[in-house]
Order: sequence, then C-alpha cells, then structure tokens
Amino acid sequence: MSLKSKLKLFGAYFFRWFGFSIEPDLRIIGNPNRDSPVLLTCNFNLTVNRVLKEIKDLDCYLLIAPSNGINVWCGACGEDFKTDSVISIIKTSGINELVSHRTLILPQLGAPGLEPIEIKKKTGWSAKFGPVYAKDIPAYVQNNFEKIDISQNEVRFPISKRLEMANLYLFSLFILFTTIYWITSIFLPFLDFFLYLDSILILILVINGSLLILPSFKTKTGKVKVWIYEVVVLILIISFNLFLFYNIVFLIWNIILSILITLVMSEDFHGLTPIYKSELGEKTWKKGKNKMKFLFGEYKLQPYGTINIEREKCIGCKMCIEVCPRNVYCFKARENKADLKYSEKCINCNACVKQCLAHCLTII
Amino acid sequence: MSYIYMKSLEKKAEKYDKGIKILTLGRLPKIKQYVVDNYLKKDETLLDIGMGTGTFAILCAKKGLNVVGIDFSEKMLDIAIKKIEIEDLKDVIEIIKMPVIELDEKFTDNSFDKVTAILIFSELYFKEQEFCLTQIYRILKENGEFILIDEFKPKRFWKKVLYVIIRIPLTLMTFIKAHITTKSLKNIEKRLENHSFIIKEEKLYLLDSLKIIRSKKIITK
Repeated sequence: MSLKSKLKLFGAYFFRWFGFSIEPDLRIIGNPNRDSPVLLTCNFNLTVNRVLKEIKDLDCYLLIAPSNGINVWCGACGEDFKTDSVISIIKTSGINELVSHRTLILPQLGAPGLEPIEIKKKTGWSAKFGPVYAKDIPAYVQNNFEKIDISQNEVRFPISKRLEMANLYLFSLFILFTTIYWITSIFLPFLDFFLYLDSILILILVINGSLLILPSFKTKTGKVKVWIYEVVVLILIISFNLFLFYNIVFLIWNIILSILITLVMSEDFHGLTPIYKSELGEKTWKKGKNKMKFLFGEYKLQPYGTINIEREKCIGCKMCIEVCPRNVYCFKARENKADLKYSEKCINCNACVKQCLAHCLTII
Repeated sequence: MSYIYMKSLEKKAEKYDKGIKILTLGRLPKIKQYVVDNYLKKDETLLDIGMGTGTFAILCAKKGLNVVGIDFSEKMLDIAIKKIEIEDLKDVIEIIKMPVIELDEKFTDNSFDKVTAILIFSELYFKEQEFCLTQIYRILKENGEFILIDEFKPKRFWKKVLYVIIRIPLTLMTFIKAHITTKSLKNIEKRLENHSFIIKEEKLYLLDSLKIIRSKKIITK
C-alpha cells in the first residue's frame, strides 16, 4: 500500500463525514476460477481495506462499486450506493467474461438502497444479500452462501465500535474547539496551554465516556442518557476540585464546558449509534420534512415511524428476515408467513420495506 | 440509526450554476459561449452528456441545434426543465433521465453530429470513462465531433503550485455554498487517441486547469 493511501485511511478514520473513495474496480483475490464467488462492496477506502483483510484467504472476485466514498449503509440510505452503482461496475469491470455463473453477493446493509430485481433485469445477475460483517464472509461462502445463523444478520455495537464512533465525534469537536480557543486566547490572556489541555481532557471524558457506557443505561431517550452521564461527570469535576486541586477558574470553566458539550451530544445521541433510532431524524420527519439539518449539512431522511405488517398479503419470501439488521422479524413456519417479534428494536432503516416482495410492509 | 456520519451531503442543485461559476472564476459561461459560437452549426444534432441545469443545452438550442440532454440527477433536471420552459425551447431539447452506463441501450449507432461532455468526465471513475468513450465513438456519425470540457492538473510546476493555492479557498467556498466539488482528469489525450479519436483543437484556460478538447471520430479500417 502506498503512503498516500495509508494517509487516506487515517483521514477516513477521523473525518468520516467526508467521503474517502478509492477507484471502483475489480479485485482478484487468490486464484479464482470460473465458478468462484463474486462479492461486491462500496468504494469507501476503510470498508474496502477491512473487507480485503477478511477475505484474503478466499479465492474470489471483489467488485468495488462506486458510492462516492461513502460506506455501504449510509450510502444505501442516502442515494450514493444504489442499484445503478452495482449495474455500472458489473458492466464496466468485465466480470461477465471471467465467471460462468451469475450470482452476486451484496452486503446486507446495502438493502435500503439496492434492488435485486432491477439488477437482474438489467444485467442478468441474481443478487443475494450476504452477511453484515466482512469477518463472516468466509464462513458464509463455506456454508454454500447461506448465513450460518441469525446472528450474522445483526448489527452490533461493541466497545471497539463505540470508541471508533466517539473518536470521530471527538476529532471534529477537537478541531472546532482548538480553533475557537486559540483565537479567543488572543483577547483573553488567561486562556493558557494548561487550561487548554484540561479542556481537551473534559472533551474526551464527556464524548468517549458517554458513548462507552451507552448500553448500560436502559432509559428510553438518548437525551436522558447523556444528562445522567453529565451528572456523573459534574460530580467527578467537583470532587476533583475539592479534594485534589482547588482552583475556582478551573472549576467554573470545566462545569460550563462539560455542559456545553453535553448540549451538543444530547441533540442526537441515539443517532450516533447503529442500534437506536435517530431522535433528531424522527423529530424532523414527524414535522413533515424529509431533510435534516445537523452541524455542517443537510441530510436526506428515510421515513420514520412504527413498522406495520399486513399479514394476509405476506407470501413468506423471508426477505425481511434476510435483510433486517436488528432481527425484528421471526418466521412462523406453520403459517408460512413472517411476523414482527421485536418491533421495539426497529431503527427505521427501511431495508425490509424496500425489499419485501409482496409489498406488505409499511411505516406508519 | 446513525444518520450523522458519512451521510453524503445533499447536493444543492439550485446553487450548482453559482458554485461552478465560483470554482471556475466566472469563466465557464464564456467558455460555453465560445464552444457554441465556434464549434457548432445550425441544424446539427447534439447529445449533451451530463446536461445538469441545462445552460449549455439552451445556448445550443438558441443557435438552432437539435439537442438531446441526459443526466441522472433528478433535481438538476427539474431546474433544467423549468429553465427550458421559460425559454420556450421544449420542442428542440429532449431530456432523458438516465445514467451514462445506459448509453449502450438508449442510442443507436451513428446518430449524432456532436457530443459534448462538460465537467462530467471527471465525476466518473476510470472504467466508466473508458465505457463512455467507446459509446460516444459508437453513437457519433462519421466525422462527428466530441467536445470535452473538463478540469486538468496543470503540467508546469509553477502553474501547479499556483493552481493548488488558488483552488483550496475556491473549493472550500464552493463546497460550503453548493456542496459540490470537482476532480481533475488525467492523460485524456492519449486515451482519446486509443479510442480512435483525432484531436483537432485544444484550448486552455485558468492556468491550464480548464481545457476544451475538440476531437473527431475517424473510421479505422
């Protein structure tokens, strides 16, 4: 890997809200033959890097579809990773000449934006949704392109991912804060380096801390979670000042700063996670808008609400079970129909609504 | 779910024209006018790939060409349709909403006198560009011309430095205003020749960063 693409990986890690793309292309992994599986992913460099690491022992073809350097899930929800991207890479990569079969494995999280029927119509390829995580791909391929169990469908949010998310947030706020701080310090001389270091510590404490302990709070809204954590932080700050190092300027400054960051975080705390519904998004959607403003830009919204299944229409195609990243559905074999099991877990990613072959799912 | 990170910003179509004007320091409208005045003739058929908000298509239609414009952005086309209605040119401009990847299905061989692609090639990836060149060659009539206007990295060192210095603030301004950026193309002359085009004329603008390439389809036997 060249130095430039390594640097770009770091960039992608810390500044994810801009796209970091790599050239869409066909990658040949191992020594594939005419029957080897064909996988597809988006062209966000971090994603491609992780997928390549996981499948390095397989013999297969990897198509990198154009998605403006946006990851699979966000791209699929926001019209960057769409049916057209898949058709484009199939047509231009020359994969048709390399393999004799026509089965394409798509990432499961692409389901909100990809239409297998359309892909089949325009290219002749039958597309199938594979597992959510790249690490499950080898097992999935070995198991004859069937998911081993339902856990391969589910999006998880373990400590490492929570830290990753926190670091993204931390980094952008860190840059914003540093700029404002040093510009203000020209006029307010008491803003020195020591206070700056202390402020960065508060940033880390509030942002990383709140995301790390996120699942241990069982309250309903994200706002309450952040504010409970903020109370803990305030107690920490005050006791630190009382017992270890007393300075009134520090005390007041730390309290104000932590409250300010908490205000920013509480705006859409659940929206930072892949396991809860975005509160800001839902609020905005209920107001009748299909776009949301947050920090730097406008974002397109998918419909929010509770999911509804018209069971008499259900034909038992199991698509909803296949694509749901939260395992909301269950299958009732006796009736040969799907049903809602944990509808409270739904995060309104709209994958099932888009993929349902009988069009029996709606969001109300 | 997380709608915050890495959700690409909505491109603001209504501000596209203004954004591009900033990015090209106001030169693009003049360049378009130059192309219309010097390269195009009345009653020719023209395919405008990536017509966007339709400024170029309208200029051509006013000169008396029959224009087919294609683009994939619905928002851009909405604006184009409005503009064309105001100018009352609905009969001479045909708009098709399609991605470039469908060029092979929608048009027949030898059907256009001219094909233009203005600031669209740099938005495509390498293999898509190659695909387009093949298709453009196919749909052009014999001796038909392909006119490409796009961004290039300057070749000379000092121009490169100047280009980078000037571009950073321009790109930032444009991104904040319209949420659009452009990339630059590489080595396109060689690739045009590989696809059996002959380059007739090249014109450079803005520190050599904006280029018009006028090339002609020749039949190789």
